[in-house]
Amino acid sequence: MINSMQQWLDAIDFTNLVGGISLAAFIRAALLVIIGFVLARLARLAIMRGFGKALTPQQRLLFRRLVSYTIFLLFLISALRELGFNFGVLLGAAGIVTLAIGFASQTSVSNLISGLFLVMERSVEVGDVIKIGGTTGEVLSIDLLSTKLRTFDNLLVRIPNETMVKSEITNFNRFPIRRVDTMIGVAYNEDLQRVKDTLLHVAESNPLCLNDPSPQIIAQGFGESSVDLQFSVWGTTENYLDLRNSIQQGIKEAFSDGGIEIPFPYRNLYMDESSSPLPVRIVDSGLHTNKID
Amino acid sequence: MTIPIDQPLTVWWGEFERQESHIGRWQIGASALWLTRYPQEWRIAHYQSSNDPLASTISHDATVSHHDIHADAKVYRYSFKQAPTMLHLQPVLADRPVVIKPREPFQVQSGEEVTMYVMTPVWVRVGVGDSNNILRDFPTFRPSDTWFGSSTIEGELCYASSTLGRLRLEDLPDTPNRAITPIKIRNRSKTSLLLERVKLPIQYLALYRANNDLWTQTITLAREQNTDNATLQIRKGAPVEAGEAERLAAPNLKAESNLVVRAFSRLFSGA
Repeated sequence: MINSMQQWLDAIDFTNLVGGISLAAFIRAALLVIIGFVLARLARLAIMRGFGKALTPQQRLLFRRLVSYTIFLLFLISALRELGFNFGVLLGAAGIVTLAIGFASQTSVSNLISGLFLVMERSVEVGDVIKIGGTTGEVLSIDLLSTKLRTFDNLLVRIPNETMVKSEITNFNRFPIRRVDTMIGVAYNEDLQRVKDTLLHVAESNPLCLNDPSPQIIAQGFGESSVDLQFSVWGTTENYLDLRNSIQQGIKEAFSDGGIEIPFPYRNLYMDESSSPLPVRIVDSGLHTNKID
Repeated sequence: MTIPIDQPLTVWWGEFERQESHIGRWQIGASALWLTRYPQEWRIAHYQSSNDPLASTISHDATVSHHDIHADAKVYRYSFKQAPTMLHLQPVLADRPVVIKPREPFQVQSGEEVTMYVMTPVWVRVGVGDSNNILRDFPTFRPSDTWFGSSTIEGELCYASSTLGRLRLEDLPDTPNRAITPIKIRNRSKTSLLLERVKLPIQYLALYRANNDLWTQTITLAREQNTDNATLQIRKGAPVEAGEAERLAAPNLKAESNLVVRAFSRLFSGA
């Protein structure tokens, strides 16, 4: 169909020339751009369907972009040739142009190269939940210049790739299991062995809490009002939030049932003449005042 | 098949006819199930009513009302153009491997063989209709998760067996909601094998019924080299200890012959 259309266009003698380019050449170039665009879109869809499960989201994104950009670029070059562009001259000018663009877009180039390093290093991939600076969110895409995050309150955060490469990043779901730490303070008069047994029972009766690596109780020291313990249990990364919630609820219930006190901060007040009692005044309905010594 | 009301049951699986808006409560081990048929819907409520892994109660009550459903029960609803009247309850094995931890680790010397008997909880598979349209599997007791692997980075998520393996069959507790698997461990390597944890690849096993007990095939884990891997061999049919047996469920996965699996592992330090 394209051939017959081209023959038809060639057969017409267009006289409207722009810089020696015929209208037919313009139409051919436009057709090539449109076909290239459509083919690139089709290739993207085909990759989505064909490799949907075989590739990771990160690989899919890269592969999709590479194929669609290449197809479109090839058609664009063909279209420019139709319009009579001489690529030899263009390549000769490329050196000067590159230098000019390089000076003008240092930040963009830096981000571009950082993006390549980020993709090669594979410490962050699309779908990971990461923390960078004060931002925690799911990686939506790693683009040429920036990485896009979706925070848990559903905001889009754009982080320049250069910042990504320079900053410390915590990846929350790189490993399949992770530890949940809970800090607990118990009253000084509690039997610590009973507290430990209660905590281990809480872990044992929670199905999301892994048996191995086994739960641990680490004494953190003697606080102002309590003996401070760290209770560490392991769970799968996907169950992290459920485990964190259920383990804290379990501890609260087990402590309430077992009569184990989680103390409020105590404050002892001493007056200057500590031996003498403080005067207390009882106010009766605001009408009579009795003074007790 | 009609369910006798208020009579102790010996088995809980089978096919049952349910009438419209009829609610039935099954207590199977530690789990309670309320199954209700509506004209265009089957509704299942599930609640683990006990933390005892060896709970052995089996009962059925057809006189319960909606108010008797536990407030914390999780409800699952399945809609139909015309809800089937036939209900199928079937025992199935766990969908993940089960890790067994001996009470005290023991050594299997080079060239020696030991047989362990382990019990693993079964799941209740609820299906409806003449073609047994499977709705969902419910655990009779939900075992804890555990991690089985060389490190916290590499490994496999498994269930932890909440009862210990026994070296003698008679020492196993009597409970109808658990399947017994005899595991033969052969140490053909030149070094002794310290048994701290053994992974039972239960997804390759079928389920059998002998009298009112549930069994799987006998498996052999042969350790050839000084590694944590073993060659898995699955004996055909129910174990000889079970006597005459009827097959209830096929394996989830088909095992290739002489499949090498990671079967043994040291304990983690937990830090």
